[in-house]
Amino acid sequence: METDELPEDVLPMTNAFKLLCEESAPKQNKKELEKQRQTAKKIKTEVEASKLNLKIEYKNLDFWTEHDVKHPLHHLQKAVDATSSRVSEFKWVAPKVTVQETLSTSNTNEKVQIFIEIPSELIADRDFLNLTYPTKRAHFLCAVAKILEKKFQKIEFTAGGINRDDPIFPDLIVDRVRVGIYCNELAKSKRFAPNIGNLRPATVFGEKIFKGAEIATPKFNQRMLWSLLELELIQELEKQIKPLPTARLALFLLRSAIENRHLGDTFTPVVLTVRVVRLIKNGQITEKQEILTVLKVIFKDFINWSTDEVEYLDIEEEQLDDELEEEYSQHFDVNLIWKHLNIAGNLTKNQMARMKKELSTCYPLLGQVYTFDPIFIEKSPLFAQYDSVARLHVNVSQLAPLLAEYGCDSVDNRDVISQFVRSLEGRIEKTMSERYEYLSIHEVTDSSATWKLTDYASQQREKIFLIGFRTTAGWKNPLTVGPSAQTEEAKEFRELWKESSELRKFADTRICECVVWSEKPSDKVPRAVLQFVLQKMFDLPATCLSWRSLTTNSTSAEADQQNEKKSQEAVFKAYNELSTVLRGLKGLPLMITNVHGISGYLRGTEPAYPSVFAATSSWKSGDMHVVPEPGKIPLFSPAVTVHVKLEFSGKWGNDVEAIRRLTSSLYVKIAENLRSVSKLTAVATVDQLFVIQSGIVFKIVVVNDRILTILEEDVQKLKDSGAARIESSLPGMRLAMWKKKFIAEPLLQMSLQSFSTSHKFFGPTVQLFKKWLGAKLLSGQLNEHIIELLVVAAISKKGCVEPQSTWSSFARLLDLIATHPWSARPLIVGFGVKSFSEEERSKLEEKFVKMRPVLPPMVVIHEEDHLGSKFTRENPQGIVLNRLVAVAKEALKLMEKHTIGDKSIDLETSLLTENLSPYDAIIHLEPAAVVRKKALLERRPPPENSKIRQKLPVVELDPVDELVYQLNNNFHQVAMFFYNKYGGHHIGVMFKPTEEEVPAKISRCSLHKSVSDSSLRLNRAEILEDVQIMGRGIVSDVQLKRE
Amino acid sequence: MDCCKKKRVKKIAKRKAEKVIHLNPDSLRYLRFRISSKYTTERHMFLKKDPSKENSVIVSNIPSFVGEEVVLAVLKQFAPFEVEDSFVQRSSAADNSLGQGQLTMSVTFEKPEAVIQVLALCQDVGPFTITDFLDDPDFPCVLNDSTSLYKKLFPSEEKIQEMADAYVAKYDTDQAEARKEAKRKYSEPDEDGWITVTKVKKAAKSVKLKKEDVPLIGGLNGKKKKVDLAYYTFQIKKNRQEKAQELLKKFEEDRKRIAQLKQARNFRPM
Repeated sequence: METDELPEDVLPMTNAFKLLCEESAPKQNKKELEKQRQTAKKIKTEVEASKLNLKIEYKNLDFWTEHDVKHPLHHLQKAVDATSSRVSEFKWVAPKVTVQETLSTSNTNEKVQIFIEIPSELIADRDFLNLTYPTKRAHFLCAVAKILEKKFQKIEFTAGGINRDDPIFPDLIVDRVRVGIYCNELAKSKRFAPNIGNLRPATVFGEKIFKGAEIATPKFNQRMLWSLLELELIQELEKQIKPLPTARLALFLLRSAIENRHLGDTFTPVVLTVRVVRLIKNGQITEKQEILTVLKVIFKDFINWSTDEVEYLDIEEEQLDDELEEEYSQHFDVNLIWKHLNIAGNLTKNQMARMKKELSTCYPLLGQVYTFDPIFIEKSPLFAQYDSVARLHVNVSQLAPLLAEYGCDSVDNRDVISQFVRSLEGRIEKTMSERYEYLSIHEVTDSSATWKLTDYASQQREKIFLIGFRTTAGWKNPLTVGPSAQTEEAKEFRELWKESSELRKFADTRICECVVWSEKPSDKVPRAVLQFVLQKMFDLPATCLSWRSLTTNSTSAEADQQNEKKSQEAVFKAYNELSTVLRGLKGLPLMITNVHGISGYLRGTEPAYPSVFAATSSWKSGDMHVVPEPGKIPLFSPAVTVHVKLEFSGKWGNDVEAIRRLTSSLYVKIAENLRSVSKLTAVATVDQLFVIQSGIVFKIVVVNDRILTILEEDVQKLKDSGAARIESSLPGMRLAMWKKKFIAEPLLQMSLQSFSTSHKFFGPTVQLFKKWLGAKLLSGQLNEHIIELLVVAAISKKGCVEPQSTWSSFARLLDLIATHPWSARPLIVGFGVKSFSEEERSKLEEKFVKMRPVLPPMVVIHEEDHLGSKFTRENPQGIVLNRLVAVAKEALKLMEKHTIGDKSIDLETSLLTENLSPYDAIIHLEPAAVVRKKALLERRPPPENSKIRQKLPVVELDPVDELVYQLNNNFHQVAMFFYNKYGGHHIGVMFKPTEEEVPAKISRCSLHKSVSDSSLRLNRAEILEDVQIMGRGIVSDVQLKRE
Repeated sequence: MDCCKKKRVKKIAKRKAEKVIHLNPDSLRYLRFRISSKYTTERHMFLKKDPSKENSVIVSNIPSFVGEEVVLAVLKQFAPFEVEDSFVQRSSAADNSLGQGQLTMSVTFEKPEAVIQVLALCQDVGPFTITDFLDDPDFPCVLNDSTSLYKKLFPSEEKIQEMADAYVAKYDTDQAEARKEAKRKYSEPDEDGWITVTKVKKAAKSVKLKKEDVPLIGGLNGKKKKVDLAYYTFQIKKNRQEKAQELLKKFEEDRKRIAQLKQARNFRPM
């Protein structure tokens, strides 16, 4: 990413932004700081004054066991035995102790650190070789622990190192103060350049594998170097950053942004601080800059952080010679050098790519008040960050055959595993880099970094990782295309793929080496590739990797997806054909000028249950259409709504009813025309016209702007007459209704349609959301438009990298529902280019605060509804919204368990499982009445040249919908009804607790019975009996669960 | 069996009739009933004296499919008084349709003592079975209702055309008549000898210009714009103060906004 790709500063610094930044700064807990200072002081005096009588061989690790402390390198006794030192005796010598405040360089809990220098008389001149220094260091640490043990309550070992994850160089935590050991005198820093070997693998893993091998140990060198330079570096950093409070604040904000995006494991506080201090030293950050400027400078610097060049903390400092720089570039992905110490040595290219992507998404939003939270405060779950995730389980015993490779530069199992993971990452890069933008490997093993003095350090024989991919369009590509045949590269390629590649000729006459994974693009391809890598290239068992996706049974899931996609394409094609026919119709009094399809089927957001195609019927009658037989439930056929507009005419008159009648006779004309000229099935009714095109039913509605004018005139007349409260008057309501139905909804649908074309996974996500809502028996509680808007909001949330798959967008959606403060903030949905500016947002939010008491529980603001209540006025009620939030949280937990748990579950099935236990009563439905379910027999369109004209089937008649509507209508005062629109066989009934027992009043007696003179009780049996009476033919049984 | 039951009911009613003396006139009384021999759940209709009308009782919690006549017939079973008037007041349905939900009706008797009798006796009689009072019980059924409604949505095309033509023809004649009437109004004097005079619209509207749109050359009314320049020290001071005030106000607003955002952040109702 280059600088010129970033949009230049447009927003000036505002007070509001400054305030926000300052408000979110950590409140310096002075008490805690003071306490830690006191502790540190006490430790210092204790250690300096102590006179421990101790003299042992440094190889004697068991000595400490007798004193109730376990030497942290105890499990490496063999390796320690293989070391040698001129000073083989270890004794206690009072050391130099430094207390250093680490407000910027450590995590927020550790405000003060103590550094103890090992006295030089304990160290010999070649102790930097092998594990001599780590052993002595650990001895010293044990001694310090022993000294402090009596005076302090809580002392624990903790992993040290630059990432705080290195148990070979442990520290102590004493009452929340970190105590580290360093040794400045050990050797010169250039002794630890990456091309030098300081650890003979044979000392660690024995002579068998590594007889006499001398290998460069860049990683081990860096670990040693950190222990040497830690104090010096931290002192330098703290000194540089202390006088710049704005830089400190910016650093804090940056850190929380990084941590919220789950990048904190590798972009540690030290790395971030070094990068910021580098900017201070360069003069790019100065004292007088505003916070926004500083943030922008920092973000820009991170986005432009070069992975190719070797960079230095001090630019003026003497640089390494080119040869050494080359060594660094070879061994590390990222190089940020200070005195031979590569501070960014643990970063990988993929992590850098991800960090850059995240920060460059945030960069243009810096300075805005309303995107501050998503950038710096909000945190979404790890699994929602990736489009595809897999769980990798590695046991070190599986790596035994590969030990020759990963044993170099490793001290223990942990190192072997992490080297393997690095190498795996590299191999994935080589084999499938065209399929993803970046990948990340996160350790999910719950390995606590601290352990008790009396415990052995953990051996960590196995680890669990989460591999997440940000996929590209080529993710499912069935081919891995290699270089042209007969070249040197081709040979390499064949070798890499273990001779499984073959030659393929392409359309442009190229002949290339290719690995063929499948016939068609499929989710199985990347799985197969990764399995190939693990099994064939690393000899690992297939079971160590398991993909965590929405479905495990990918064959049937893929078939379903294909089916949905085909349905959507069929609808879209039929719609295009129909609109051509309609526009070209001749012989009508008025020409059709505008055709506008508005339906979820057109963009694949409505599940094709049972099918998008019309049901065929065998009903014999002369009519063009089928009507339902009394008492029988017809098959469900959906209809796709199409709005048409006619050319302008001044002859419509001034009466809405007259226009309606005229339009109905126009429907008849159009129907006649379609039947005779286009040979289509067309049935006119009073308010719409049904047409079957390519087997799909379309509902055509003429939208006449004249009606709008008339309604507006009516309202104007009312206003002129001095009437107040226009909104609740009849003309006012009619106007609002018309505008909603024929202006707001179509415009919104248009935006959704274009959104769905630019986001391929939008349709499947909405479908999954709808089915999930159904499974939670919440169908009908959210307006269809709101459902889609929520998905849009989750996908296009500002300050987050847009998801690319159903998995990630659904996870983000659940997260949005579960974490949005619905009662305190509106949800503002912007469609990319058309989204709201900062100023507009501020006005909208202000209005929201003023209007909150009269607004519904859920407020969703978008381009067509600036108040945010148009589609949420009636539903969901507060109680239902709460339930929605709760079930979303539950689903998130399920997803998390699924991603990192031992066994992979069929997530979609578990998400879509109904739970009937919370309901007071259950209404069981007749199986035949459930018409909107997955069809057993696939419906097909009639053959194109068929001579038989299809009859119009019964359209959009869902008896369950009707029943629920009537139940709510009849019993809304005392009960709520929950159902699953997509094939649910039950309706859940909840009685309102407030109606359980009411005072004996005529106004509250409905559906109650008398129990005493003063009170009435809800007559549940009466309600359920009524349900049975009303639901004859639909309801099979009613079951009261709780009295 | 059914006729036995009815008889028994009547008997009880008559025997109790004389006992009634003390009764709180404002209390809520109930009447037990059930729908049919198939649907046997005991239900209560509630009766209360109408405080605004001496001769009336309010009957509530009547299933809409039971209907007004049946209620009257039931009442007649144990209180054979002449009913002067009865009507359904409201329904508990969300759409207020009287064909849905539980109904509340008002029954007005000819004599005020009927009210006392009805209220006194209702709790001791029953339960009545609704189907006994109906020759052809017609219970609501969502399935049948929706299918019949669906059928109605599809009139034949001839009928649509016919309806449209009829309405439009009527509309046209109405319009013509109205026009004629209007014309007559302002051309011929009416009964009192008046002629309606209406304002004639101007042929073209004058173009309204906003202040900002006024062309630069001299302006329309020739006045020069007064340039607001602070000249005196007090003006400068005042301006500065005003500016500071404004900034302060904006700052306060910002602070409020941030406080709200922060509050929302911490807001966790669950």
